[in-house]
Amino acid sequence: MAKASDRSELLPGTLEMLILKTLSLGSMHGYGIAHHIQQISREVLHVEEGSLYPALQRMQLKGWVSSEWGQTPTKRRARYYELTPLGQTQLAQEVADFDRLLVAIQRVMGTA
Amino acid sequence: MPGPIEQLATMWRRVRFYLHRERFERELAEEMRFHVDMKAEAHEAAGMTSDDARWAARRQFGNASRLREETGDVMAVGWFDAAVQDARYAIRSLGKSPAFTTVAVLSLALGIGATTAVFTLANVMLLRPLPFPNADRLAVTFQTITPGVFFAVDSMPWSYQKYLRLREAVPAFEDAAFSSWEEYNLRRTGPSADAGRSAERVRAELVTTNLFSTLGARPMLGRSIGPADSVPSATGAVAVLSESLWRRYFNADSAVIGTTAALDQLPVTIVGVMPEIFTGIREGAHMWVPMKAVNDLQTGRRRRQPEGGMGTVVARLEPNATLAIADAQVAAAAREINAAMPTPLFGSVRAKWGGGVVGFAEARRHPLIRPLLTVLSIAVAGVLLIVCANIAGLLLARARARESELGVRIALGAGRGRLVRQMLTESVVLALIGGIPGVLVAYVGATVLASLRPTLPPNFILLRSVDLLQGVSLAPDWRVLTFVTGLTLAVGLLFGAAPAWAASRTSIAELIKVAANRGGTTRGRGRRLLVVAQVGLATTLLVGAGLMIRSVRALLRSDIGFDANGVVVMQLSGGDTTAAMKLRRSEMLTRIAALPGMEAAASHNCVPFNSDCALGPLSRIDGREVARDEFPPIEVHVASRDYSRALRIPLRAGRWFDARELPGERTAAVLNETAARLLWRGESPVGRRLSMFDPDSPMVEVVGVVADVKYDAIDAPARPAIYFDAGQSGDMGSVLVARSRGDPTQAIPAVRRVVAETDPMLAIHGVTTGTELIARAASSTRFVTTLLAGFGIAAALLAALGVYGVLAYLVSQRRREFGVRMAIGAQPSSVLALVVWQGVGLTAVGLVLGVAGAIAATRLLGSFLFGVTAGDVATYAVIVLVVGVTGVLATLVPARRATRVDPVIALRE
Repeated sequence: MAKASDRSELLPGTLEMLILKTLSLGSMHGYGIAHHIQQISREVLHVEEGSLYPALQRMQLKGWVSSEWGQTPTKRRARYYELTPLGQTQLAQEVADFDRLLVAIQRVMGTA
Repeated sequence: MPGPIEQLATMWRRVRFYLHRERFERELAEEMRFHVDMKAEAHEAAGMTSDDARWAARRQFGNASRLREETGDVMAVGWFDAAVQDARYAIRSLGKSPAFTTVAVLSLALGIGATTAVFTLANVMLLRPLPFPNADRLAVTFQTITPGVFFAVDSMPWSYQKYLRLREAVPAFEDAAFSSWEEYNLRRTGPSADAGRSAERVRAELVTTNLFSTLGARPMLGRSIGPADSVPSATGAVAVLSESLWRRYFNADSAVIGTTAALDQLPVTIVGVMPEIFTGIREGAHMWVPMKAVNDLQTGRRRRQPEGGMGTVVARLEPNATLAIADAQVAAAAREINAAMPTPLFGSVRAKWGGGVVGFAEARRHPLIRPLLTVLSIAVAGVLLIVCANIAGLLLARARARESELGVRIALGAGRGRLVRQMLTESVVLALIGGIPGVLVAYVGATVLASLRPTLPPNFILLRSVDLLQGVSLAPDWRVLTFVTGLTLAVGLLFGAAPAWAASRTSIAELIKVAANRGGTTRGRGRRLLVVAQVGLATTLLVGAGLMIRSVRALLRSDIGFDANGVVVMQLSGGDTTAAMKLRRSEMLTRIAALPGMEAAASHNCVPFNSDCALGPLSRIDGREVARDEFPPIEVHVASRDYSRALRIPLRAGRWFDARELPGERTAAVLNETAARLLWRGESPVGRRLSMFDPDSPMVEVVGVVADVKYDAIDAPARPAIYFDAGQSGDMGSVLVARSRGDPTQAIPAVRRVVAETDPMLAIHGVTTGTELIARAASSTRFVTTLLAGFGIAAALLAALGVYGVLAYLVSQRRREFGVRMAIGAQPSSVLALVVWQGVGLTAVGLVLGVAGAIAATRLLGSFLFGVTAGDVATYAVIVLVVGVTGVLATLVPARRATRVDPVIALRE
């Protein structure tokens, strides 16, 4: 397990993008989303439960994701989140914005 | 920025969240549990023991309830959510004290309901537009005569001929219609006739064919009267029924359209039924027939002269015309028309004619309606304020009991603003719970008030006899619902203000102090002020009620100048005017007087208390010509020989008419006392001479003086009056009065029969008795009295409850103190006096305020008071006594409780 100093704080606003990206791979429950982001980022990005669930709620409210109760492979009841068409558009938008931002930061840092 | 559709969708999701909040919370909790479980499993898989894994997962997850709250906050709208929370809390806390809640909700339902009931009536009579399109453009026109008022009302009806000219002469009129009225016997004819059924007496309005189009009135069934109906068809004239007649006589049968009937001898075909709300131009018309067709059908001597009937002219103004423009044009037209076709008046008086218009809605509105509603509103508002004060008092007591709860919440960091909001939410929730049944109370109350409504004195020309509540739905409309919602919120904030203010001042330091010595009485001030206000309001209402009760008694006992018991009154109109008929009409009086149980019968020309007597100027007195403004106009009566016997009008001097009055020219007159006093200032008028109307009219000799009879109104002093002999004037009279020895209502059918046998064309209407005339004349006074008395008693009981509540609370607060006092030797009587004096003090201050309020408010009763002034000392004294005694009685129970405090128990507490 990575130490606290190895973890990165998320840039503000990026959590929703990460969730959207994760869900673009298929529907997933809350724990799965957090776990997925942690794994793919090789333990660098840690999603706090305290921000994950409010974010999911916010995204549902905006209509980017929808949720439904389903069963896990181990026959447990869990709420699965799924990307809506509106969410897909939003993801594309956020990816484009993020790319622009990243390029801009890299230019400033002289690494581009 | 999301588009409007997304925003709507978001809003909808929020609404769903509020609707299914509990499910949301449940599911979120389950989701959290699942998350922790999964985490624990991961830890266990990494080698932790089951318990350690579980603990670690919990720890990492953090504060689950805070997380749940934060997630919920995403969905919630801050202020709304806080309000919902407060409301839930309020409902829970109200549910915990069912006795308080029940009392508060019931009194609120009654208070809000009564207030809304009064508003419902005001809404129907003042605010709700007439059921016609663009009703603000409808107007009623009238004529005036100056100088000197010839009719008690400054408005005259129009003749048909004048109407025809008026309609052309006023450019502001889009159209104008004419309506007069007659009474008929209605029978069904043809296949639908029912031989066993007696004829129905109906009031029919004879109208020009444009009446319905001018008003924009639509029939409920069939059609109304149109232009083609001015010519009768083979089956007679067309006729349109009122809803009430259709229901009563035609059994609400829709197949009635196309059937035939007869109005007396006149054949008609029924073509339509008007809705219940349409009751005609004048009071309660039963049917409408086209005037011209009816006139064409009447043949021979029965044929009416179209210019003979007087009627009302209703006009629809051009869209750009105002009432002021129309008023000026009608005035000018009336002058021209009357110059071209002078109306014969008494003698040949030269008078100046004029005219004008009044808005249709205004014309139908009786001038007493506004003062009636004002008095009602003030009384009901007083009761509502007392209800508010009572509930505020109860809430303050509760707030006191909940001080420790509030203290804990403040200690835990609740802001004062939040606490105030919480208290106000609670009172608004309480008000809403009371307001909902209040709507039902309002509907029932308005129906009851409407059924008690007084018969207002009529003014036929300005249509003011129209009953504005006839056929009107009292069900709440949007205005009433808006009113009741606003009122409920306002009331909630009003009675919530005191406890909210108290809550905002709660200080922990003081709470601790109070908890340490439970004797604190610093906080009773708010409640005491409320009780003082209640006593004051109740006193004001009761003084109003007391004044009204005295007025009714004075009215019913007032000297009306005749003996009303046993009198039958009937109005006759139309009929034949030939010389032979005059003879038959005087024989008719003899026949009626000879009916079993009858004492006397006479003809006359106006009805007591009805303001419908003609007035005329005096022209000469003792041979000298009278200046125009020297005397007020004098009531002119033409009465048959037995009139004074039929009404039992006391004779004051000289004699009544007898055989000495030879037919032909008027030679004799009888004055009433007021006229005698006015004209000869205390000298005996008998044997003196005067003339009326015109200086050239023949002089008549005053042969007697009779008591003043109130022809104008029961609550107005009699005007100077002069009586002429009907035999000398050749006048048949339009009013029939008869005296029976027994119950006059029993005598009515026989009298009707004799009248019908004498002249079948004579229309009988306004059939009533003397006692009913008095009852009707006093009905608005009675109405106000009943309501004020009801509201006053309710107010007094509520105020007594308030006094009781404050003292009971005070006693419970000072138990320890009383215990100590008695333990060290105080007599129970001194403790009793201590408590009673508290109550007496509150009541006394309330009484002073109430008397001051009454002095200010009872001036509004002005138009309803009779025989008593608004400052009547006796009434004030009685009410002060009654309220004072009630106040003392209310203190006795808590005071006795104070004397029964057991010192040992009280000290141990």
